[in-house]
Amino acid sequence: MENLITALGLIGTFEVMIAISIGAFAGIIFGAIPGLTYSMALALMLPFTFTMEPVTAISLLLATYIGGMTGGSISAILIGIPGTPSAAATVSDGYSLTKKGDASIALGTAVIVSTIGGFISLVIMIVLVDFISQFAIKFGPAEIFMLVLFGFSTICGLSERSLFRGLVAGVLGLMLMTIGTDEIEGISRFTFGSTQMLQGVNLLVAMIGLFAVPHILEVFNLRLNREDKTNFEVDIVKTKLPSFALLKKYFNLMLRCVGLGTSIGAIPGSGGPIAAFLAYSHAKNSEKNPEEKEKYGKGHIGGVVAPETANNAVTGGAMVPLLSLGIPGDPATAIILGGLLIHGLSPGPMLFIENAPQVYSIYLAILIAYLVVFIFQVNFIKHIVKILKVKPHHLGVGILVMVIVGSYAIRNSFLDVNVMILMGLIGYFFNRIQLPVTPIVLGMVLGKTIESEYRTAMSLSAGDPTIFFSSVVSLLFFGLIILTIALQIKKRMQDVKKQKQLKEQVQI
Amino acid sequence: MRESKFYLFLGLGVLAFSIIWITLVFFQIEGDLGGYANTPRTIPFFLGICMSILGLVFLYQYKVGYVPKNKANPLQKNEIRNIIFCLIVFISYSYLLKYFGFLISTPIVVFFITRFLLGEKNWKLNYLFPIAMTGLIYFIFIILLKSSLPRGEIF
Amino acid sequence: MKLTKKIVGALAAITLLFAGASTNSFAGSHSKFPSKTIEMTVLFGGTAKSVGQLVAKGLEKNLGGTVVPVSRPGGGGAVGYKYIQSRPASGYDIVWNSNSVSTSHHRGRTSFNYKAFTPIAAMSIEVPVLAVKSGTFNSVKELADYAKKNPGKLKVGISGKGAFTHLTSAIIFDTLGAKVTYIPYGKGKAPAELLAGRIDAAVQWPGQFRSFHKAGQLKMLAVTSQERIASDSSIPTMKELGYKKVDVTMWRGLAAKKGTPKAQIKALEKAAEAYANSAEFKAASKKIGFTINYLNSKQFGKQIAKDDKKIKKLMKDLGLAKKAK
Repeated sequence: MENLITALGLIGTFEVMIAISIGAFAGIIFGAIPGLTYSMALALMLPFTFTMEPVTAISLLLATYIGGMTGGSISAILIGIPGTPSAAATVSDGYSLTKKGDASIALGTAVIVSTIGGFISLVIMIVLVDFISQFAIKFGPAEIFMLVLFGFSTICGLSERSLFRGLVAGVLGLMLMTIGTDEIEGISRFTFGSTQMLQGVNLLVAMIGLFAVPHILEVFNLRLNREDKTNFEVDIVKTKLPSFALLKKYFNLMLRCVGLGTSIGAIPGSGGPIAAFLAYSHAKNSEKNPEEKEKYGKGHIGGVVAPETANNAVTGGAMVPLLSLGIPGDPATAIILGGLLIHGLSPGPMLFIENAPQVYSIYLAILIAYLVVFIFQVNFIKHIVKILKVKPHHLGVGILVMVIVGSYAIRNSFLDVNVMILMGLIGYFFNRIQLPVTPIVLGMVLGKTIESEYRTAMSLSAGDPTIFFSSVVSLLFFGLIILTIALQIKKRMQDVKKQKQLKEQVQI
Repeated sequence: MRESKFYLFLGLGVLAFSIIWITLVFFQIEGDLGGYANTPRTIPFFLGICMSILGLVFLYQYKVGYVPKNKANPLQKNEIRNIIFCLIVFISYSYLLKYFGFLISTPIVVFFITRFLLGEKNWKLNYLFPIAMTGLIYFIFIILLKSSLPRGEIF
Repeated sequence: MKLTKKIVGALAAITLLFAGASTNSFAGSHSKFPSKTIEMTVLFGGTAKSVGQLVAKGLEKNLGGTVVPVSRPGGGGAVGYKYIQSRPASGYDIVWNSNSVSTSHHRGRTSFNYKAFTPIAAMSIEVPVLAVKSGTFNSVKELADYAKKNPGKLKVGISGKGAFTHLTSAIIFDTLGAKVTYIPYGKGKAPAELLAGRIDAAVQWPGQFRSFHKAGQLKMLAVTSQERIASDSSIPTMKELGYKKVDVTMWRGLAAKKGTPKAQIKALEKAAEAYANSAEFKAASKKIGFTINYLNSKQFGKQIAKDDKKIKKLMKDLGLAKKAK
């Protein structure tokens, strides 16, 4: 209690409030503009925090992180280009809703569920931090490998058209991540002798290319043919927010996604994108009404609620390994870890004893940051949906410059610009031949983890594969994998049967 | 005559890719294969095998007579030409950035795209938009965040 | 056809614009240093980057110009070194250097070695530490005894093959005369893996273990430098424990491409010295957990050369050495 009061004193200053507001704003902007990511915002801001008070500095970084996490959904919903990998799962339904003219409802839902998800996960984290960190330690390489494999098996559920087409894209994503330096042995792979290629393919760069370039190409193509129209009928662009009844309907789903997001966030090495994809497939599979289920991927609000709740619930969960073990879950939390270290807050059990007031002020900062982000975004929506009234090719030019500058700025590398363009071409080609693009992102998110955990586990057991079946946790995930695959196959068999029946009817 | 050769082409494409990939696994990754399945080659090799199996699956689907549910869109008028134009713009922008730096190349490229490629007639857009765009990014990255933008090798 | 015509017109316009732009940008003079932004290439993330960013800020203050830390990660530093080599030797592109200049050369990733860079100043050293879970081994001797009795059974966590922690572990266990198994794993997971008992010992930076050591969950056994480190002064050195051969530290400092004018190097050296002696840098060293070790250009050059020899031999022994194509 004492700590809480001290923390209130630390956080209740004018500077901290300003820092949180700036952070939240910058996070939203960087998250929302395709080509810029909030990891970049964090990296660029870190040097400015050196001279600040510790609590102010950490608040600024956390607010940027949270702003970015929610901001990523804005561009995902409005133009179909995810601002962050965590928002990639939101694209299919969010963008479809925009095409129907329900952009503001989708955005509003995303903001509200994000805030709720973040809040609840924070509370879970505060109450259960000791328990969760014990649970997180249980996840060794073998267990994480199984978890990630389980995540990959849900690819099948994500691709609409065909299981195998989704798999092709997923495997391609995994392949891309093996290019560059192998982290375990330090050997170069597929570099063709080039030093630049040692950098490998960056996930953010590839994602920018996959989603943004096809968008630009399509828009420019229409314009060059003089066939372009305004994006949507201007009058359709509504600024209505979602109703309370709508949110109430999905409250149960939200709670489940919060649980999912928090636990995924707590496991070192996974993170936002995995949680979002798992939540999406969970939402789709748990929908009982077949008519509603059909709508997933074509503009179902549940397809926005689930991933957005889950990826923000990750923020609470991710604080556990970060603060108690010093393990960052993704590039963004790695930068926050840097900020913590510079201000002398080294993670570990003593942090909660020696720096208890600072830890409490971190909690409070997250809480306030979510509030501020919420207020910003709700007021933002009315204005930001107007971007749909801008002529698509004008927007396209802007996006073009942003994606090129953005993909350069991530690692200050021209290789990344070229990779981005190449990935864009692949994305465009995949769209043309109707292969899904999202599994590539999922494959890339999981790729590094799958490989490094597999190899570490195999090193630990000296090459004995039974390590993957030696604990309850990994057996549990193995069961889930089998279940997922079995369900997929069963569903496919039914589909095939139906098709056959239809064909026979036609022939008769 | 089959209605669609989609799966044939897809299968062949995927198969060809997987063969190239597996060859590269042996030529582009150094080191021995090791006593057990735990080397830098393991996962890429396994992925290559997965890919080739997928290719075979598509070929099987073609043989059984599968037809894709949704028809692929036919090529639009001038689509290939337009895409190539756009790509040239992309690539030349990245080269301009490399040799001339951000401040010089961005306004030129943006002007070029809006005026000539997209045929924008409004002069305000033509001249103000490139400058505003460049200025805004320069302001955010250099003045506000004190970071770096592509510096030219020539200037 | 119309489109093609337009494109030709546009190209003409571009040429004109260039003609205008180029006359302007040659006007700047180079009398005063620095007259434009200095880019400091940072090769790694984590502590390397944090300290690099601090140093960039410090240089800025003492130099009176802008110094921007720019990260160019990849290939164990090779990408960044190669970038510096591709730039003119004007003093406006400097690198936050470390032992990786030697490791990346001897692994065959860069064709040039440390001689391709002019040292400016050494700023700090970081000292790896050997840690175990509390209650397993109480001293280095116990660990050594166990490892000798059970060759290949002790699992030692490292960041990756050929990483600095791997080289350090190799030196330690060679000196102990024990054969162990190295487990490479991802970033920063050492404390968790030790706590869970999946690995028996780990060599990492003290900052990662400090909090656990204080709480009594992990035990830091020894540091690998010749003298105790200020941030964790209760931890003995390997030398004190009787293993005199162990002397490994990771140095960090500033370097520029070879051929950079003397005046520029001098100016940077002076600014680096001023920052190394500042109270700010001292405070940061305590918080982050590195040791300040300022050396001027000449001394720094000697240290790099000495280290390079050591690393070369070590990597050869470990079978990691390779020639660049």
